[in-house]
Amino acid sequence: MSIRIALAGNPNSGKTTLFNRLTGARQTTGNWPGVTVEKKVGYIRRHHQELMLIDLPGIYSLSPYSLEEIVTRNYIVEEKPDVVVNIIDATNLERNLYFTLQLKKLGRPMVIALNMMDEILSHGDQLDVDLLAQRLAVPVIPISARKGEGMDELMAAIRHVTRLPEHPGQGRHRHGRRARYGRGRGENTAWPEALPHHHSQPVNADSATDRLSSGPAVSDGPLPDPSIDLQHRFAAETPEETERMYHLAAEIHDQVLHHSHRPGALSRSDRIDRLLTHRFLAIPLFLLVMFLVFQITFHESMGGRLTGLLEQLFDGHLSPLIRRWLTAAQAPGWIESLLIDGIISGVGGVLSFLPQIALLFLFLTLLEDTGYMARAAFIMDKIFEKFGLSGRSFIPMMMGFGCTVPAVMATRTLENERDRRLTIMVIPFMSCGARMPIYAFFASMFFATGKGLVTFSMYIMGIAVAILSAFILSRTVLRGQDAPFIIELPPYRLPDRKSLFLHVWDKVRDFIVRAGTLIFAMTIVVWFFQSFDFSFRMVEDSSLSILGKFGGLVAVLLRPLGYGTWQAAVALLTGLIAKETVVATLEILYTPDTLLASFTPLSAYAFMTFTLLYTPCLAAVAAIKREMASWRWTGLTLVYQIGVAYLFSLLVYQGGRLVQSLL
Amino acid sequence: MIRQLSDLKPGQSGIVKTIAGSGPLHQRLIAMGVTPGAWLIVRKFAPLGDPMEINIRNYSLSIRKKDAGAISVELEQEEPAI
Repeated sequence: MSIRIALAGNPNSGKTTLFNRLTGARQTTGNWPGVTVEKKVGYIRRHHQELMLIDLPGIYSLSPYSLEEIVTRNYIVEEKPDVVVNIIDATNLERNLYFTLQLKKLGRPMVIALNMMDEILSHGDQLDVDLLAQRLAVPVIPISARKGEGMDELMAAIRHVTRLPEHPGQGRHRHGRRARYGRGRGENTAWPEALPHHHSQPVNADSATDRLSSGPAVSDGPLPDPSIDLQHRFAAETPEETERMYHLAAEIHDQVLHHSHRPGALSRSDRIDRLLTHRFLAIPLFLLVMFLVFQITFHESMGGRLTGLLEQLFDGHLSPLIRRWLTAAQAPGWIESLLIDGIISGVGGVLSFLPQIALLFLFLTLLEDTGYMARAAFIMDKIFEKFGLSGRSFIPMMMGFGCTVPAVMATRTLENERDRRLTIMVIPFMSCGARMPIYAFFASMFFATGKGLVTFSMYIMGIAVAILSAFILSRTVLRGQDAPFIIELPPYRLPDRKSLFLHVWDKVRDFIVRAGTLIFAMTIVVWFFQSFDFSFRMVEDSSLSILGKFGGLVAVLLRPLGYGTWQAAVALLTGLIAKETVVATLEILYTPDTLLASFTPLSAYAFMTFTLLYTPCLAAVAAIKREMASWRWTGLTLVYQIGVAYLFSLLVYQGGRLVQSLL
Repeated sequence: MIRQLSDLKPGQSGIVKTIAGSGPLHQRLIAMGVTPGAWLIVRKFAPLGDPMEINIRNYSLSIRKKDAGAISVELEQEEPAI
């Protein structure tokens, strides 16, 4: 059986960076509370031994108030990992130590990875790593996850604590990185006196508690009786116990860390914030940042240009090439039809948007990882509060611009059930990356001038509907108190390039995989049903096909919205599975000429409105069901979204017609 | 002098005395290190006047004024402007 290593720590402690460093796995890293809401597992293979690394959610406390805290606590108590690696941000030692003291009470063997040691050094602060190890009775390894320093030492400590055989010459010595942060024994690892290097007795709950309660250096009162059942003891942490642990954390902090600045002095982040959260400049700057993100992603000369080039590649080069091959090979007509009209126009139509989606995710991740996202929440909270939302809902909603699924999962950081439901219900209105191709598709067909404006208006409409919905829902079905808005404003940091790359690649890969599997399969299905009739004969006129007949039935409902064609109906139906298929389907069912004949700019805009607002894709619905843990609420959400989509699409079309008739 | 945290001005600092209530707000605050005896300094208010930013235990925390009203602080001598 492989060794299980649980990685635990506060948000913004560099946990995800360390996880990526050790495993090279795909993971997101973020600067707002709780990006790693999912349990992620990575594998480290070293010296013919497989180690399993479990990334626990980033949390501030083990006191089980939020889902993430419960997940973490239960994992450590019930699954009993072989070792808990607690990553600590050395620049934020005091609060991180509170969590460490809580972790220790769970009684698993522990190793502390003391991160951001490079920043401690560059600040000119002095941190006594040996003393820290002694006070905690846990091995402490100074590291810099971002620079990859101290990794070998960390692995050696893990092997040691889990009693894996150490491989002489393979560990810290051979890799020969000089001991940068270490003191004493000339090594990078600080071992507590109770646990000399050669003595492989793992730290257990009793010895840890004993040391904390009876050690001569500890002036604090004794911790609770270790014989009481751990879980029970834990759930019952009283405010007094929390205070006592914080007191102890502060005492240890004061003992081991000597700051070069006086308390409360302005840090580099504070100086940056003088500008970015400035009374008058903050909001204009926020809007400017958002504008730049959209401009670079969508503008003709930037993100839009890349998409145009890919389209050119698929339609202008690949299609004619395959057509020539097929003609040369004398392939039957249906193969040509399947490949060119089905797969290439469908899958290719979707894949063209890859660069823009990658850009969008790159920017969202950058905003998170630098720490700006938390500031944005800070700046916008007042507005959110007015509409019944918490400022903490801001970040999940921003993530909704990327993909609804992780955004919905990110609501786990909201402690309050009402806030979570409310946020989940409005997230799908934030236009996700997969809807983008739909706007781009119609905008380039019907709005030659003002393409960017039309696309941008979709995003604005989504935000407006989300806020309006929150306002209405929080005063009707979801009345109640909003949760306190208490968030950390993490220090500004340059994002870790490896984590950034892994995150964006993860999303891009998802998109390619979807295009290659789900969208691929859907395009074949759509092509098949639009090429054959009920007696499975190939039809010339696809309105006579199976799909044509079926779509015709649904189209009746769409007539008041201005696009009552069977093709539009089918596109919207396939969009229930994945939004990318809307464009794929339209590409198959329409030629440019028939498309122009079927839509007016007004009905195209009404169609875009519908796709913006109606039910998200199947994966998102599954995520909503998982997070709501209720079919009733999930059902309500879906019905609400279809209703809103129909209503707004109707308003756009009929309202637009009214205006046109008046002009 | 004891004041509610929400009444402090940017630059003012003090020691946390008590935290009123016992609900989720109280739990959340102490879990984040806002415990009696902790020193804090008010940094600023958000552009729209709420929430406020404080520095406590060497990190920055954002909190709405209405929630900060639950925290009473023993005010220190005002710091000279930096």
